[in-house]
Amino acid sequence: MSDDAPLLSVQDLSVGFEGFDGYAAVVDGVDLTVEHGEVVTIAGETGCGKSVTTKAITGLLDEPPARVSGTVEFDGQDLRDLPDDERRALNGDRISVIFQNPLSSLNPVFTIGEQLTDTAQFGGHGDTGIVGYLRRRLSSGDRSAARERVLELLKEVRMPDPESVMDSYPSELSGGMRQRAIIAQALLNEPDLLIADEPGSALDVTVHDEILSLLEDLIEERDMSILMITHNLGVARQLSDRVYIMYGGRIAETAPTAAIFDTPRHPYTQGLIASIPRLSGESMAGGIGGSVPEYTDPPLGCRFHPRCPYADDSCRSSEPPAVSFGDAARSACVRHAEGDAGPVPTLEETKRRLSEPERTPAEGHR
Amino acid sequence: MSIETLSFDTSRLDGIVSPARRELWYRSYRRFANQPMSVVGLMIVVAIALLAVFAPYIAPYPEQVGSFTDFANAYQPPSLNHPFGTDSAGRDILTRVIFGYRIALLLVAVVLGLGVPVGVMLGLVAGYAGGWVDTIIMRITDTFLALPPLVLALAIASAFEPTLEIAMFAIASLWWTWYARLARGLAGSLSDEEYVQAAELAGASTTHILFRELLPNCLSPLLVKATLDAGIVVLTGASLSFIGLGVQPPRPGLGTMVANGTQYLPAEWWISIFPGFAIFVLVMGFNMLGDGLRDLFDVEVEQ
Repeated sequence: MSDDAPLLSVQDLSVGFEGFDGYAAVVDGVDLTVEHGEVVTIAGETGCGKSVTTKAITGLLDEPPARVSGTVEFDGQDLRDLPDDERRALNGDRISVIFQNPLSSLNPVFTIGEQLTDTAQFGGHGDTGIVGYLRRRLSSGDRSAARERVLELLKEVRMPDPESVMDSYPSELSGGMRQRAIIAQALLNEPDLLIADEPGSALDVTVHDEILSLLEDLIEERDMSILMITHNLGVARQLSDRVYIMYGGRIAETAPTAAIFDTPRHPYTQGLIASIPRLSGESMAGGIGGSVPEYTDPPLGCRFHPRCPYADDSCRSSEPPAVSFGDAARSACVRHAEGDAGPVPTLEETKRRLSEPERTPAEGHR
Repeated sequence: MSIETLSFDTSRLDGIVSPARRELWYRSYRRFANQPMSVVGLMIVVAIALLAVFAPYIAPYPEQVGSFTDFANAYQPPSLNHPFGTDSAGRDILTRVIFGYRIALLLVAVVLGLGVPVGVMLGLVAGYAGGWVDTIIMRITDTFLALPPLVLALAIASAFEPTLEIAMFAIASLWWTWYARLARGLAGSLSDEEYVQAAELAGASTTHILFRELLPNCLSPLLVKATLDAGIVVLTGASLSFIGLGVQPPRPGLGTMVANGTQYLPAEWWISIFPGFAIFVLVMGFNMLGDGLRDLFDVEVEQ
């Protein structure tokens, strides 16, 4: 593998579902890349297609009913063309996934030790058939070596009292402990890419914080790429090297983390940043009026225009192209286009416009 | 026996299981023991199983089981020597009932031992694979379900020589269908659980997913269903024997004995009534135990 090629490269990924209300294009032409050792965040409101994007990348969507197009290249291999068994082997060996809900991702009828040892022992070996399975399962040396590794990793994720956790069932652990167990499970086979769907956001704030600082340390210790989903911009800022802002199934803007918080270019990004509540006692942020679009009947042109404080007719007529700003930053807004006469969106201006009381946000739904 | 005398000394488990496990076992045990019906059911089933296993040592006249005749002692009403009386050939009915339990439990073991694994495997594969695999397996299952089991068993049993073995396989060949359905439904819904998806994404093999992720999570409803079913298997076997398509004389089938006694009713009532009552007690035992397990595991089983 060459080092300059990205580890994960997603090109023109689209996902749709045929429903009773018609076809819903939930993800529409998403491009994203994750470099070796890079931590990438996809951020956006609930319902922007973040989770569906990761599910399409990991191959969890059943087709049909889902309709997926585009390419997902991992280390030069197109994952979507890979036969099932090779894909499973790759999943166990080089790609790990952490789900959002720490209870439902653990099998309720086995102890933590049992199921993590299974992952350590069988992950990445593909389907060996029942004979191969039993041979490995009953080989006590293999099993106890795997158990040792699990214990080691539980210590690494700072699990309190790891020995007794090994013999506990998921229902006997707290949410934070379950989340740690899942992180340990995901790291067992030393993946090159870790995909984390809102890790810890089902937990309360203090535990969530602990989990994030654990992730931060793990990122520093390991040479691992991470693709993380979050609706929390603070998390994105704290952990990631690059942020993708998603809206309505499209990438609105991407930039290195520092750049996106210093000079957000897309009105949606600006709106999100303006909506972060501050504890300084200033008045509450206004937020962005309206809600994410209906996917069966999305707004024409820019999908954000019904809620955008800069929207005019040019926004409704055509889908805005992504404009590059150097430094690997891209933003998809017509206001960036050359010769556009409208005001340039800035964070200050967006804040001012969003707080204007007379604005009727839902006005222009097509 | 009162429930209190069944108290369970957890210290005996020291060193075998961890304290947390012990606590869990103890709590399950208390929940089970708090339902007198299920405890009685368990005791009935265990007692009958012991009777069946040790029949030659327990039965008062083990030599009178088969083709034994002692016409001098025929038609004896219940007495101390023959608590259930004797039949038309002078055989002790209690002895024959005890040996009849052997046959009844053998039938349950064979039918469930063949039907449950086959049905569960087919159901798990259908539920997890989905698509055309699911369609093929479940449509075949539906075909079998379309005919009442007793009628189909009758047809199979009468097509061959009517023996206990044929009856057993006739019933077993039909009994897998409900397990296939139950397991398929459970596996289908469990396949969407995140821990199954997580296992898939960790590269788990299909074998692993079927046997380590899906099967263990289906076990409680399957166990409850099997226990409740055991009684129905006993009844089905007895029905076949009653109409002469199951256990053949002189083997002591409970259903066969009831059938044989009907010609002497009502005068020599004990010949039919005691074997009939024996069937009733065993079926009751299985049902009470099954109900108790159902409450214990808190599962819904279609009845």
